[in-house]
Amino acid sequence: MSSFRRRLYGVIVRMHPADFRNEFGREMMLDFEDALHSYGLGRLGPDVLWSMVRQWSACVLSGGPEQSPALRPSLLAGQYVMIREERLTMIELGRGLVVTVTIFALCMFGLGSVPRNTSRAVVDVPIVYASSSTPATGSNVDPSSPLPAGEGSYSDSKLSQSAVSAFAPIATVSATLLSDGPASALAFTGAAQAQPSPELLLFHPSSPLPSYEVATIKPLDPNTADRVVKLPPGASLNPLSIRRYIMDAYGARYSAQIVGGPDWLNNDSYIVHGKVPDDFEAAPQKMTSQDRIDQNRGMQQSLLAGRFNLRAHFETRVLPVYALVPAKGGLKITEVPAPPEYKPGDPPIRPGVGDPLPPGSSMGSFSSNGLRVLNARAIKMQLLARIVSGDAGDRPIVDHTGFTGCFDIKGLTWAPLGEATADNSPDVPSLIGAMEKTLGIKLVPTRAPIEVLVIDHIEKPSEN
Amino acid sequence: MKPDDPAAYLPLSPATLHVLLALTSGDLHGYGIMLEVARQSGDQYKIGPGTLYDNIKKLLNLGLVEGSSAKSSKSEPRRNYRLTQRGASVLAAETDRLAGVLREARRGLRLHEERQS
Repeated sequence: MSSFRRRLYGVIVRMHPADFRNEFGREMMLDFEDALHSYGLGRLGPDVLWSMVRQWSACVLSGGPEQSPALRPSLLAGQYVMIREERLTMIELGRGLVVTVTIFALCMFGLGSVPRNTSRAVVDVPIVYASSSTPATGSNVDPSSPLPAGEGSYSDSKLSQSAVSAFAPIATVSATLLSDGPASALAFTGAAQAQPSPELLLFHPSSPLPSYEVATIKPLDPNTADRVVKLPPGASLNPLSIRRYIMDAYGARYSAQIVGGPDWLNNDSYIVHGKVPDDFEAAPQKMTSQDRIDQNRGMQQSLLAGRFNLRAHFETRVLPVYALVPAKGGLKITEVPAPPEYKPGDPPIRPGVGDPLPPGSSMGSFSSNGLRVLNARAIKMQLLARIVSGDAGDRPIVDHTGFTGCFDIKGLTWAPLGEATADNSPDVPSLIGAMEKTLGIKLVPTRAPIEVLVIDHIEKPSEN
Repeated sequence: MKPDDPAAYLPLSPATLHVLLALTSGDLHGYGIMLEVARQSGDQYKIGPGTLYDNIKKLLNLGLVEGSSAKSSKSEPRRNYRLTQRGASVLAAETDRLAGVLREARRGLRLHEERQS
Protein backbone atom coordinates (compact mmCIF):
# COMPACT_ATOMS: atom_id res chain seq x y z
CA MET A 1 0.00 0.00 0.00
CA SER A 2 2.78 2.42 0.90
CA SER A 3 4.42 1.49 -2.41
CA PHE A 4 1.27 2.63 -4.21
CA ARG A 5 1.22 5.90 -2.23
CA ARG A 6 4.87 6.49 -3.05
CA ARG A 7 4.26 5.95 -6.74
CA LEU A 8 1.23 8.21 -6.67
CA TYR A 9 3.24 10.92 -4.96
CA GLY A 10 6.07 10.39 -7.47
CA VAL A 11 3.66 10.88 -10.37
CA ILE A 12 2.47 14.19 -8.92
CA VAL A 13 6.06 15.31 -8.33
CA ARG A 14 6.83 14.52 -11.96
CA MET A 15 3.91 16.70 -13.01
CA HIS A 16 5.65 19.77 -11.57
CA PRO A 17 7.44 22.13 -13.98
CA ALA A 18 10.69 20.64 -15.23
CA ASP A 19 13.04 23.09 -13.55
CA PHE A 20 11.41 22.65 -10.15
CA ARG A 21 11.13 18.89 -10.45
CA ASN A 22 14.73 18.48 -11.57
CA GLU A 23 16.01 20.57 -8.72
CA PHE A 24 13.84 19.38 -5.85
CA GLY A 25 12.06 16.21 -7.01
CA ARG A 26 14.51 13.76 -5.50
CA GLU A 27 14.55 15.54 -2.13
CA MET A 28 10.74 15.75 -2.13
CA MET A 29 10.51 11.99 -2.61
CA LEU A 30 12.99 11.32 0.21
CA ASP A 31 11.16 13.69 2.53
CA PHE A 32 7.84 12.12 1.57
CA GLU A 33 9.12 8.67 2.54
CA ASP A 34 10.32 9.98 5.88
CA ALA A 35 7.18 11.94 6.63
CA LEU A 36 4.56 9.51 5.32
CA HIS A 37 4.20 7.62 8.56
CA SER A 38 3.78 10.64 10.82
CA TYR A 39 2.04 13.07 8.43
CA GLY A 40 -0.08 10.67 6.38
CA LEU A 41 -1.12 10.95 2.75
CA GLY A 42 -4.11 13.07 3.78
CA ARG A 43 -1.75 15.91 4.62
CA LEU A 44 1.06 15.28 2.12
CA GLY A 45 -1.25 14.71 -0.89
CA PRO A 46 -2.97 18.12 -0.86
CA ASP A 47 0.38 19.71 -0.04
CA VAL A 48 2.08 18.40 -3.17
CA LEU A 49 -0.98 19.10 -5.34
CA TRP A 50 -1.10 22.67 -4.11
CA SER A 51 2.63 22.98 -4.70
CA MET A 52 2.14 21.81 -8.30
CA VAL A 53 -0.56 24.44 -8.86
CA ARG A 54 1.65 27.17 -7.39
CA GLN A 55 4.68 26.18 -9.46
CA TRP A 56 2.76 26.00 -12.73
CA SER A 57 1.09 29.32 -11.93
CA ALA A 58 4.48 30.88 -11.30
CA CYS A 59 5.82 29.26 -14.46
CA VAL A 60 2.96 30.58 -16.61
CA LEU A 61 2.99 34.03 -15.06
CA SER A 62 6.74 34.37 -15.47
CA GLY A 63 6.53 33.30 -19.10
CA GLY A 64 8.20 29.89 -18.94
CA PRO A 65 10.84 27.97 -17.08
CA GLU A 66 13.78 29.89 -15.76
CA GLN A 67 16.82 29.84 -17.94
CA SER A 68 19.48 28.04 -16.00
CA PRO A 69 22.09 26.26 -18.08
CA ALA A 70 23.64 24.61 -15.03
CA LEU A 71 20.38 22.86 -14.18
CA ARG A 72 19.52 21.79 -17.66
CA PRO A 73 17.61 18.47 -17.64
CA SER A 74 18.84 15.61 -19.74
CA LEU A 75 16.57 13.30 -21.67
CA LEU A 76 19.19 10.58 -21.50
CA ALA A 77 19.18 10.67 -17.73
CA GLY A 78 15.51 9.82 -17.76
CA GLN A 79 14.50 13.31 -16.74
CA TYR A 80 11.46 15.27 -17.68
CA VAL A 81 12.34 17.55 -20.60
CA MET A 82 10.32 20.35 -22.14
CA ILE A 83 10.30 19.67 -25.88
CA ARG A 84 10.10 23.38 -26.59
CA GLU A 85 13.55 23.87 -25.17
CA GLU A 86 15.77 24.86 -28.01
CA ARG A 87 18.97 23.55 -26.49
CA LEU A 88 18.22 19.91 -27.35
CA THR A 89 20.55 18.88 -30.13
CA MET A 90 19.66 16.62 -33.02
CA ILE A 91 22.04 13.96 -31.67
CA GLU A 92 20.34 14.05 -28.31
CA LEU A 93 16.90 13.81 -29.87
CA GLY A 94 18.07 10.93 -32.08
CA ARG A 95 19.51 8.99 -29.18
CA GLY A 96 16.38 9.65 -27.18
CA LEU A 97 14.28 8.29 -30.02
CA VAL A 98 16.37 5.10 -30.19
CA VAL A 99 16.10 4.56 -26.45
CA THR A 100 12.35 5.17 -26.45
CA VAL A 101 11.68 2.78 -29.33
CA THR A 102 13.90 0.12 -27.75
CA ILE A 103 12.18 0.41 -24.38
CA PHE A 104 8.76 0.28 -26.01
CA ALA A 105 9.69 -2.86 -27.98
CA LEU A 106 11.12 -4.53 -24.90
CA CYS A 107 8.00 -3.66 -22.93
CA MET A 108 5.91 -5.49 -25.48
CA PHE A 109 8.35 -8.41 -25.48
CA GLY A 110 8.62 -8.47 -21.68
CA LEU A 111 4.87 -8.42 -21.05
CA GLY A 112 4.28 -11.19 -23.54
CA SER A 113 7.05 -13.67 -22.86
CA VAL A 114 8.73 -13.26 -19.49
CA PRO A 115 7.50 -15.87 -17.00
CA ARG A 116 6.11 -14.39 -13.81
CA ASN A 117 8.20 -16.56 -11.51
CA THR A 118 11.54 -15.19 -12.67
CA SER A 119 13.72 -14.20 -9.76
CA ARG A 120 15.40 -11.19 -11.37
CA ALA A 121 14.05 -8.29 -9.42
CA VAL A 122 15.81 -5.12 -10.48
CA VAL A 123 13.90 -2.07 -9.40
CA ASP A 124 11.73 -1.56 -6.37
CA VAL A 125 11.67 0.94 -3.58
CA PRO A 126 12.01 0.07 -0.80
CA ILE A 127 14.33 -2.76 -1.81
CA VAL A 128 12.97 -5.97 -0.33
CA TYR A 129 14.94 -9.12 0.32
CA ALA A 130 13.36 -12.34 1.48
CA SER A 131 14.90 -13.38 4.77
CA SER A 132 16.70 -16.66 4.97
CA SER A 133 14.71 -17.33 8.09
CA THR A 134 11.40 -17.22 6.28
CA PRO A 135 9.52 -20.36 7.32
CA ALA A 136 8.82 -23.22 4.96
CA THR A 137 5.72 -23.44 2.81
CA GLY A 138 2.29 -23.86 4.32
CA SER A 139 2.00 -27.61 4.10
CA ASN A 140 5.04 -28.12 6.30
CA VAL A 141 4.22 -25.56 8.91
CA ASP A 142 4.43 -26.50 12.52
CA PRO A 143 1.01 -25.60 13.94
CA SER A 144 2.63 -24.24 17.07
CA SER A 145 4.75 -21.82 15.09
CA PRO A 146 3.51 -18.24 14.97
CA LEU A 147 5.02 -17.82 11.52
CA PRO A 148 3.38 -20.16 9.00
CA ALA A 149 4.13 -19.04 5.48
CA GLY A 150 0.54 -18.34 4.52
CA GLU A 151 0.14 -19.68 1.00
CA GLY A 152 -1.65 -17.32 -1.29
CA SER A 153 -1.76 -14.60 1.33
CA TYR A 154 -1.32 -11.01 0.31
CA SER A 155 2.06 -9.39 0.66
CA ASP A 156 3.16 -6.01 -0.65
CA SER A 157 6.61 -7.30 -1.39
CA LYS A 158 5.46 -10.41 -3.24
CA LEU A 159 3.20 -8.34 -5.41
CA SER A 160 5.81 -5.74 -6.15
CA GLN A 161 8.53 -8.28 -6.81
CA SER A 162 6.43 -10.27 -9.22
CA ALA A 163 5.37 -7.09 -10.96
CA VAL A 164 8.87 -5.75 -11.37
CA SER A 165 10.31 -9.11 -12.33
CA ALA A 166 8.50 -8.94 -15.65
CA PHE A 167 10.32 -5.68 -16.37
CA ALA A 168 13.73 -6.89 -15.25
CA PRO A 169 15.14 -7.40 -18.76
CA ILE A 170 13.83 -4.00 -19.81
CA ALA A 171 15.41 -2.26 -16.88
CA THR A 172 18.69 -4.05 -17.47
CA VAL A 173 18.84 -3.16 -21.15
CA SER A 174 17.69 0.39 -20.43
CA ALA A 175 20.42 0.73 -17.86
CA THR A 176 22.89 -0.51 -20.46
CA LEU A 177 21.74 2.04 -23.00
CA LEU A 178 21.59 4.91 -20.58
CA SER A 179 24.85 4.24 -18.81
CA ASP A 180 28.46 3.97 -19.85
CA GLY A 181 28.34 0.33 -20.83
CA PRO A 182 27.12 -3.19 -20.15
CA ALA A 183 29.37 -3.61 -17.13
CA SER A 184 27.52 -1.02 -15.12
CA ALA A 185 24.18 -2.56 -16.07
CA LEU A 186 25.36 -5.93 -14.79
CA ALA A 187 26.59 -4.34 -11.61
CA PHE A 188 23.21 -2.69 -11.21
CA THR A 189 21.39 -6.02 -11.48
CA GLY A 190 23.87 -7.79 -9.26
CA ALA A 191 23.56 -5.15 -6.58
CA ALA A 192 19.81 -5.59 -6.51
CA GLN A 193 20.12 -9.33 -6.06
CA ALA A 194 22.77 -9.34 -3.33
CA GLN A 195 21.16 -9.65 0.09
CA PRO A 196 22.76 -7.40 2.69
CA SER A 197 22.74 -8.46 6.29
CA PRO A 198 20.25 -6.39 8.28
CA GLU A 199 21.64 -3.85 10.71
CA LEU A 200 18.67 -4.15 13.07
CA LEU A 201 17.40 -7.62 13.84
CA LEU A 202 14.12 -8.85 15.23
CA PHE A 203 13.79 -11.59 17.82
CA HIS A 204 13.43 -14.94 16.07
CA PRO A 205 11.43 -17.61 17.84
CA SER A 206 13.00 -20.92 18.76
CA SER A 207 10.80 -23.94 18.82
CA PRO A 208 9.04 -25.13 20.83
CA LEU A 209 7.67 -21.80 21.98
CA PRO A 210 6.90 -21.42 25.67
CA SER A 211 3.30 -20.53 26.47
CA TYR A 212 1.52 -18.66 29.22
CA GLU A 213 -0.33 -20.93 31.61
CA VAL A 214 -3.44 -18.85 31.09
CA ALA A 215 -3.94 -15.52 29.32
CA THR A 216 -6.71 -12.93 29.34
CA ILE A 217 -7.24 -10.43 26.56
CA LYS A 218 -9.58 -7.63 27.47
CA PRO A 219 -10.61 -5.06 24.85
CA LEU A 220 -10.89 -1.54 26.23
CA ASP A 221 -13.83 0.69 25.45
CA PRO A 222 -12.48 3.60 23.32
CA ASN A 223 -13.76 6.15 25.86
CA THR A 224 -12.03 4.30 28.70
CA ALA A 225 -8.89 3.86 26.60
CA ASP A 226 -8.68 7.60 26.03
CA ARG A 227 -8.51 8.08 29.78
CA VAL A 228 -6.06 5.22 30.35
CA VAL A 229 -3.71 5.94 27.46
CA LYS A 230 -1.86 9.21 27.39
CA LEU A 231 0.59 9.35 24.52
CA PRO A 232 3.94 10.89 25.34
CA PRO A 233 4.96 13.97 23.31
CA GLY A 234 5.89 13.06 19.75
CA ALA A 235 4.50 9.51 20.02
CA SER A 236 1.88 8.37 17.58
CA LEU A 237 1.40 4.68 18.39
CA ASN A 238 -1.11 3.68 21.04
CA PRO A 239 0.90 1.77 23.69
CA LEU A 240 -2.05 -0.56 24.33
CA SER A 241 -2.43 -1.42 20.64
CA ILE A 242 -1.75 -4.89 19.33
CA ARG A 243 0.87 -3.48 16.94
CA ARG A 244 2.75 -2.35 20.01
CA TYR A 245 2.32 -5.84 21.52
CA ILE A 246 3.68 -7.42 18.31
CA MET A 247 6.63 -5.03 18.46
CA ASP A 248 7.37 -6.20 22.01
CA ALA A 249 6.98 -9.86 21.06
CA TYR A 250 9.44 -9.58 18.17
CA GLY A 251 11.86 -7.14 19.78
CA ALA A 252 11.06 -4.35 17.31
CA ARG A 253 12.01 -0.89 18.49
CA TYR A 254 10.31 0.96 15.64
CA SER A 255 6.82 0.58 14.27
CA ALA A 256 8.33 0.63 10.76
CA GLN A 257 9.67 -2.86 11.56
CA ILE A 258 6.12 -4.25 11.67
CA VAL A 259 4.63 -4.04 8.19
CA GLY A 260 1.01 -4.44 7.10
CA GLY A 261 -2.04 -5.51 9.08
CA PRO A 262 -5.48 -3.95 9.50
CA ASP A 263 -6.17 -0.55 11.05
CA TRP A 264 -7.50 -2.01 14.30
CA LEU A 265 -3.94 -3.12 15.10
CA ASN A 266 -3.14 0.55 15.71
CA ASN A 267 -6.47 1.87 16.94
CA ASP A 268 -7.99 -0.72 19.28
CA SER A 269 -6.74 -0.93 22.85
CA TYR A 270 -6.38 -4.19 24.76
CA ILE A 271 -5.22 -5.21 28.19
CA VAL A 272 -3.30 -8.46 27.67
CA HIS A 273 -2.23 -10.41 30.71
CA GLY A 274 -0.57 -13.81 30.75
CA LYS A 275 0.28 -15.97 33.75
CA VAL A 276 3.79 -17.39 33.56
CA PRO A 277 3.93 -21.11 34.44
CA ASP A 278 5.18 -21.88 37.95
CA ASP A 279 8.29 -23.75 36.76
CA PHE A 280 9.28 -20.69 34.71
CA GLU A 281 8.76 -18.47 37.74
CA ALA A 282 11.44 -20.45 39.58
CA ALA A 283 13.85 -20.48 36.65
CA PRO A 284 14.78 -16.77 36.43
CA GLN A 285 17.42 -17.13 39.15
CA LYS A 286 19.44 -19.19 36.66
CA MET A 287 18.87 -16.85 33.73
CA THR A 288 20.31 -13.56 32.57
CA SER A 289 17.98 -10.63 32.11
CA GLN A 290 18.21 -11.11 28.32
CA ASP A 291 17.17 -14.76 28.69
CA ARG A 292 14.14 -13.69 30.70
CA ILE A 293 13.20 -11.10 28.08
CA ASP A 294 13.52 -13.70 25.31
CA GLN A 295 11.42 -16.19 27.24
CA ASN A 296 8.67 -13.61 27.69
CA ARG A 297 8.83 -12.72 23.99
CA GLY A 298 8.40 -16.39 23.13
CA MET A 299 5.25 -16.57 25.24
CA GLN A 300 3.93 -13.37 23.66
CA GLN A 301 4.52 -14.82 20.18
CA SER A 302 2.76 -18.01 21.20
CA LEU A 303 -0.24 -16.00 22.39
CA LEU A 304 -0.32 -14.00 19.14
CA ALA A 305 -0.31 -17.20 17.11
CA GLY A 306 -2.96 -18.93 19.23
CA ARG A 307 -5.40 -16.16 20.08
CA PHE A 308 -4.92 -13.72 17.21
CA ASN A 309 -4.13 -16.34 14.55
CA LEU A 310 -1.15 -14.24 13.49
CA ARG A 311 0.66 -15.38 10.36
CA ALA A 312 3.68 -13.39 9.27
CA HIS A 313 7.12 -13.69 7.72
CA PHE A 314 10.47 -11.96 8.05
CA GLU A 315 12.00 -9.81 5.33
CA THR A 316 14.97 -7.50 5.01
CA ARG A 317 14.10 -4.09 3.59
CA VAL A 318 16.24 -1.07 2.90
CA LEU A 319 14.55 1.70 4.90
CA PRO A 320 15.28 5.33 5.77
CA VAL A 321 17.34 5.47 8.96
CA TYR A 322 19.55 7.83 10.87
CA ALA A 323 23.16 6.71 11.12
CA LEU A 324 25.39 7.64 14.03
CA VAL A 325 28.69 8.84 12.56
CA PRO A 326 31.62 10.79 14.02
CA ALA A 327 31.29 14.56 13.51
CA LYS A 328 33.96 16.51 11.66
CA GLY A 329 35.38 18.00 14.85
CA GLY A 330 36.09 14.55 16.28
CA LEU A 331 34.68 12.64 19.20
CA LYS A 332 34.20 14.73 22.34
CA ILE A 333 33.85 11.81 24.76
CA THR A 334 36.59 9.42 25.80
CA GLU A 335 36.53 5.66 25.86
CA VAL A 336 36.28 3.98 29.25
CA PRO A 337 36.78 0.34 30.34
CA ALA A 338 33.92 -2.02 29.55
CA PRO A 339 31.63 -2.93 32.46
CA PRO A 340 31.97 -6.40 34.02
CA GLU A 341 29.85 -9.04 32.34
CA TYR A 342 26.59 -9.86 34.09
CA LYS A 343 26.26 -13.56 34.88
CA PRO A 344 23.15 -15.60 35.65
CA GLY A 345 22.45 -15.53 39.37
CA ASP A 346 24.25 -12.22 39.96
CA PRO A 347 22.17 -9.98 42.24
CA PRO A 348 20.44 -7.13 40.38
CA ILE A 349 22.22 -3.77 40.66
CA ARG A 350 19.92 -1.20 42.22
CA PRO A 351 21.78 2.04 43.00
CA GLY A 352 20.34 4.17 45.76
CA VAL A 353 19.47 7.85 45.51
CA GLY A 354 22.64 9.85 44.99
CA ASP A 355 24.77 6.81 44.18
CA PRO A 356 26.86 6.99 40.99
CA LEU A 357 25.47 5.16 37.99
CA PRO A 358 26.70 1.57 37.78
CA PRO A 359 28.85 0.79 34.70
CA GLY A 360 26.83 -0.19 31.64
CA SER A 361 23.73 1.73 32.71
CA SER A 362 22.05 4.98 31.75
CA MET A 363 19.57 7.35 33.32
CA GLY A 364 17.26 9.67 31.40
CA SER A 365 15.41 12.47 33.14
CA PHE A 366 13.64 15.74 32.46
CA SER A 367 15.03 19.08 33.55
CA SER A 368 12.85 21.69 35.24
CA ASN A 369 12.24 23.40 31.89
CA GLY A 370 11.05 20.24 30.17
CA LEU A 371 14.28 19.28 28.42
CA ARG A 372 15.51 15.74 28.25
CA VAL A 373 18.78 14.98 30.03
CA LEU A 374 20.79 11.81 29.55
CA ASN A 375 23.61 10.53 31.73
CA ALA A 376 25.21 7.17 31.11
CA ARG A 377 28.26 5.25 32.23
CA ALA A 378 30.30 2.85 30.08
CA ILE A 379 27.70 2.26 27.39
CA LYS A 380 28.25 1.24 23.79
CA MET A 381 27.19 3.23 20.75
CA GLN A 382 24.47 0.70 19.89
CA LEU A 383 22.86 1.28 23.28
CA LEU A 384 23.11 5.05 22.83
CA ALA A 385 21.30 4.68 19.49
CA ARG A 386 18.51 2.76 21.21
CA ILE A 387 18.21 5.24 24.08
CA VAL A 388 17.83 8.34 21.90
CA SER A 389 15.71 6.61 19.26
CA GLY A 390 12.46 7.92 20.76
CA ASP A 391 13.38 11.50 19.92
CA ALA A 392 14.39 10.97 16.31
CA GLY A 393 10.88 10.24 15.06
CA ASP A 394 9.94 6.78 13.90
CA ARG A 395 13.14 6.39 11.98
CA PRO A 396 15.54 3.68 13.14
CA ILE A 397 18.97 4.73 14.34
CA VAL A 398 21.90 2.53 13.41
CA ASP A 399 25.48 2.74 14.59
CA HIS A 400 27.97 3.60 11.83
CA THR A 401 30.59 5.15 14.10
CA GLY A 402 32.87 2.14 14.06
CA PHE A 403 33.53 2.66 17.78
CA THR A 404 33.35 -0.67 19.57
CA GLY A 405 34.31 0.55 23.04
CA CYS A 406 32.28 1.99 25.91
CA PHE A 407 31.79 5.66 26.70
CA ASP A 408 30.52 7.88 29.52
CA ILE A 409 27.87 10.46 28.65
CA LYS A 410 27.33 13.43 30.91
CA GLY A 411 24.46 15.87 30.65
CA LEU A 412 23.38 15.36 27.06
CA THR A 413 20.44 17.81 26.92
CA TRP A 414 17.94 18.32 24.14
CA ALA A 415 14.38 19.41 23.48
CA PRO A 416 11.97 16.46 23.15
CA LEU A 417 10.56 15.80 19.71
CA GLY A 418 7.18 17.39 19.10
CA GLU A 419 7.16 19.36 22.33
CA ALA A 420 7.80 23.06 22.65
CA THR A 421 10.27 23.83 25.38
CA ALA A 422 8.96 25.47 28.46
CA ASP A 423 11.21 28.50 28.19
CA ASN A 424 11.21 28.65 24.35
CA SER A 425 14.90 29.35 24.52
CA PRO A 426 16.61 29.49 21.13
CA ASP A 427 19.79 28.13 22.74
CA VAL A 428 18.32 24.70 23.36
CA PRO A 429 19.45 22.34 20.62
CA SER A 430 17.49 19.58 19.00
CA LEU A 431 18.71 16.03 19.54
CA ILE A 432 20.82 16.20 16.37
CA GLY A 433 22.45 19.46 17.43
CA ALA A 434 22.99 18.32 21.01
CA MET A 435 24.70 15.09 19.98
CA GLU A 436 27.09 16.91 17.68
CA LYS A 437 27.85 19.62 20.21
CA THR A 438 28.17 17.46 23.34
CA LEU A 439 29.36 14.10 22.00
CA GLY A 440 30.93 14.89 18.63
CA ILE A 441 28.56 12.47 16.93
CA LYS A 442 26.26 13.28 14.05
CA LEU A 443 22.93 11.78 13.11
CA VAL A 444 22.98 11.49 9.34
CA PRO A 445 19.87 10.53 7.35
CA THR A 446 20.57 7.57 5.09
CA ARG A 447 19.13 4.18 4.19
CA ALA A 448 20.09 0.79 5.63
CA PRO A 449 18.87 -2.81 5.51
CA ILE A 450 16.51 -3.47 8.42
CA GLU A 451 14.76 -6.70 9.29
CA VAL A 452 10.98 -6.32 9.30
CA LEU A 453 8.05 -8.57 10.12
CA VAL A 454 5.38 -8.59 7.41
CA ILE A 455 1.93 -9.48 8.69
CA ASP A 456 0.15 -11.82 6.28
CA HIS A 457 -2.91 -12.48 8.41
CA ILE A 458 -4.27 -11.56 11.82
CA GLU A 459 -7.71 -11.77 13.40
CA LYS A 460 -9.32 -10.03 16.32
CA PRO A 461 -8.77 -12.15 19.44
CA SER A 462 -11.07 -14.94 20.47
CA GLU A 463 -13.22 -14.40 23.57
CA ASN A 464 -11.71 -15.44 26.90
CA MET B 1 16.14 41.37 -7.57
CA LYS B 2 17.81 41.38 -4.19
CA PRO B 3 17.01 44.61 -2.36
CA ASP B 4 19.46 45.50 0.39
CA ASP B 5 16.80 46.69 2.78
CA PRO B 6 15.48 43.66 4.75
CA ALA B 7 12.17 45.49 5.24
CA ALA B 8 11.54 45.13 1.50
CA TYR B 9 10.88 41.40 2.03
CA LEU B 10 8.31 41.90 4.77
CA PRO B 11 5.86 40.66 5.81
CA LEU B 12 6.92 37.03 5.52
CA SER B 13 4.38 34.29 5.03
CA PRO B 14 4.05 31.87 7.99
CA ALA B 15 5.80 29.08 6.05
CA THR B 16 8.71 31.33 5.06
CA LEU B 17 9.05 32.60 8.60
CA HIS B 18 9.10 29.08 10.02
CA VAL B 19 11.63 27.83 7.46
CA LEU B 20 14.00 30.70 8.23
CA LEU B 21 13.44 30.19 11.93
CA ALA B 22 14.19 26.46 11.65
CA LEU B 23 17.50 27.21 9.95
CA THR B 24 18.67 29.31 12.89
CA SER B 25 19.31 26.03 14.72
CA GLY B 26 21.93 25.06 12.13
CA ASP B 27 22.28 23.57 8.68
CA LEU B 28 19.38 21.25 7.96
CA HIS B 29 18.17 19.15 5.05
CA GLY B 30 14.54 19.29 3.96
CA TYR B 31 13.17 16.69 6.35
CA GLY B 32 15.21 18.20 9.17
CA ILE B 33 13.53 21.55 8.46
CA MET B 34 10.10 19.88 8.54
CA LEU B 35 10.87 18.30 11.91
CA GLU B 36 12.33 21.51 13.31
CA VAL B 37 9.30 23.54 12.20
CA ALA B 38 7.00 21.03 13.91
CA ARG B 39 9.14 21.09 17.04
CA GLN B 40 9.37 24.88 17.24
CA SER B 41 5.63 25.26 16.86
CA GLY B 42 4.80 22.52 19.35
CA ASP B 43 3.31 20.43 16.52
CA GLN B 44 0.74 23.15 15.81
CA TYR B 45 2.21 24.01 12.42
CA LYS B 46 3.55 21.40 10.03
CA ILE B 47 4.68 21.86 6.47
CA GLY B 48 4.90 19.17 3.81
CA PRO B 49 7.62 18.79 1.18
CA GLY B 50 5.58 20.70 -1.42
CA THR B 51 5.23 23.82 0.70
CA LEU B 52 8.78 23.44 1.94
CA TYR B 53 10.45 23.37 -1.46
CA ASP B 54 8.18 26.12 -2.84
CA ASN B 55 9.62 28.29 -0.11
CA ILE B 56 13.16 26.95 -0.41
CA LYS B 57 13.15 27.78 -4.10
CA LYS B 58 11.95 31.30 -3.38
CA LEU B 59 14.48 31.78 -0.58
CA LEU B 60 17.34 30.44 -2.71
CA ASN B 61 16.44 32.87 -5.49
CA LEU B 62 16.34 35.77 -3.03
CA GLY B 63 19.65 34.72 -1.47
CA LEU B 64 18.13 34.31 1.98
CA VAL B 65 19.28 30.70 2.23
CA GLU B 66 21.92 28.71 0.42
CA GLY B 67 22.21 25.02 -0.38
CA SER B 68 25.24 22.85 0.35
CA SER B 69 25.67 22.04 -3.37
CA ALA B 70 24.09 23.08 -6.64
CA LYS B 71 21.97 19.98 -6.95
CA SER B 72 21.32 16.75 -5.09
CA SER B 73 23.07 13.70 -6.48
CA LYS B 74 22.97 9.96 -5.93
CA SER B 75 25.97 10.01 -3.62
CA GLU B 76 24.66 13.09 -1.79
CA PRO B 77 20.90 12.76 -2.19
CA ARG B 78 20.06 15.58 0.15
CA ARG B 79 21.27 19.12 0.30
CA ASN B 80 21.69 20.90 3.57
CA TYR B 81 20.33 24.42 3.65
CA ARG B 82 21.92 27.28 5.52
CA LEU B 83 20.67 30.70 6.56
CA THR B 84 22.67 33.47 4.86
CA GLN B 85 23.57 36.79 6.42
CA ARG B 86 20.84 38.43 4.36
CA GLY B 87 18.36 35.76 5.53
CA ALA B 88 19.27 36.42 9.16
CA SER B 89 18.76 40.16 8.64
CA VAL B 90 15.34 39.59 7.10
CA LEU B 91 14.37 37.25 9.94
CA ALA B 92 15.49 39.84 12.48
CA ALA B 93 13.45 42.52 10.71
CA GLU B 94 10.39 40.26 10.66
CA THR B 95 10.87 39.49 14.35
CA ASP B 96 10.95 43.22 15.11
CA ARG B 97 7.83 43.73 13.03
CA LEU B 98 6.01 40.91 14.81
CA ALA B 99 7.14 42.25 18.19
CA GLY B 100 5.55 45.60 17.24
CA VAL B 101 2.35 43.82 16.23
CA LEU B 102 2.31 41.92 19.52
CA ARG B 103 2.90 45.07 21.51
CA GLU B 104 0.09 46.82 19.70
CA ALA B 105 -2.22 43.82 20.10
CA ARG B 106 -1.61 43.66 23.84
CA ARG B 107 -2.21 47.38 24.23
CA GLY B 108 -5.39 47.18 22.18
CA LEU B 109 -6.71 44.24 24.18
CA ARG B 110 -5.93 45.98 27.46
CA LEU B 111 -7.81 49.09 26.36
CA HIS B 112 -10.68 46.94 25.16
CA GLU B 113 -10.90 45.19 28.52
CA GLU B 114 -10.79 48.53 30.34
CA ARG B 115 -13.65 49.83 28.22
CA GLN B 116 -15.64 46.68 28.89
CA SER B 117 -15.20 47.00 32.63
